[in-house]
Amino acid sequence: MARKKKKFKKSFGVEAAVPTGSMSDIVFLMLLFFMITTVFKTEKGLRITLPVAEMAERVPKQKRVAHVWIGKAGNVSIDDYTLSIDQVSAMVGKKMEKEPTLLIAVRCDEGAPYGTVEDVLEEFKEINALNVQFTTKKVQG
Amino acid sequence: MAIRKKNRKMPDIPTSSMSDIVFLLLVFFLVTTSFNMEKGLDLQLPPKGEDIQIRRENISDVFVNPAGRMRFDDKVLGNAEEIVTLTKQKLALNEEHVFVIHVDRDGQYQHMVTILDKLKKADAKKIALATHRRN
Repeated sequence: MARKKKKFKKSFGVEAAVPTGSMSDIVFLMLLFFMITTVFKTEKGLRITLPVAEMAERVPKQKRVAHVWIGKAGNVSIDDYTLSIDQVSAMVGKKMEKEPTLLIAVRCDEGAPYGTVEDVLEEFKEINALNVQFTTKKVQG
Repeated sequence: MAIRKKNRKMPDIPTSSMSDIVFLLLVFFLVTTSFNMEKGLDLQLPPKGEDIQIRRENISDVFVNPAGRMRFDDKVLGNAEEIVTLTKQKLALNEEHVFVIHVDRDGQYQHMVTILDKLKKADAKKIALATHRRN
């Protein structure tokens, strides 16, 4: 009996250590991953509640996107500048010059008056910015 | 002799705090990263001043009034989901059927998005937004 007990104790004597040698490698890898994928938000935008839709599609990865914000009161904002409707075409036009295949994401409040949206879309047509996406959130449940 | 002793010392870069720094950086990037999960409904706008003649029977109109009441051609709808079935019926007859969304200028943006969503759900390819801009 006594002998047996001794043997048991011996096996427990092995120290249980978590191998930490590769930890720093893993952490470095994660760090690199997050450093590369991080895109800092440059635009604050407006406080809006997005409309809901079921068929929302993702923005294609390779596409450059410009955001046009329309608030609940019908106020329009691009790059955090509050604009009147006839200033929209100039602002978007400047962006279009740099990137002719620009996708324009309209981030509009669900309760915004449609007249404003319509006017903004007319402005887009004016400068031939025809790729438009209405940003929505997925319907829940 | 004193100089020699000094030279024999190995020049070490202290690495014990490196992992702490890296962890800190990692946490910083973890917290600040926001993945681009934007979603939306695509729409191709027509070029300015381009008029295409389409025969009346190949167009369906969807109307919404400011209160959110909807009409599909001449049919008043109880709820938006009916648009899907009606659109599918039209598309079964003609793949290229055009759907025009008419929203009141005082109406809400959500109404337009709802109709656009339903038309997309029924796989409508040709969708247009009617404009009533006063110039």
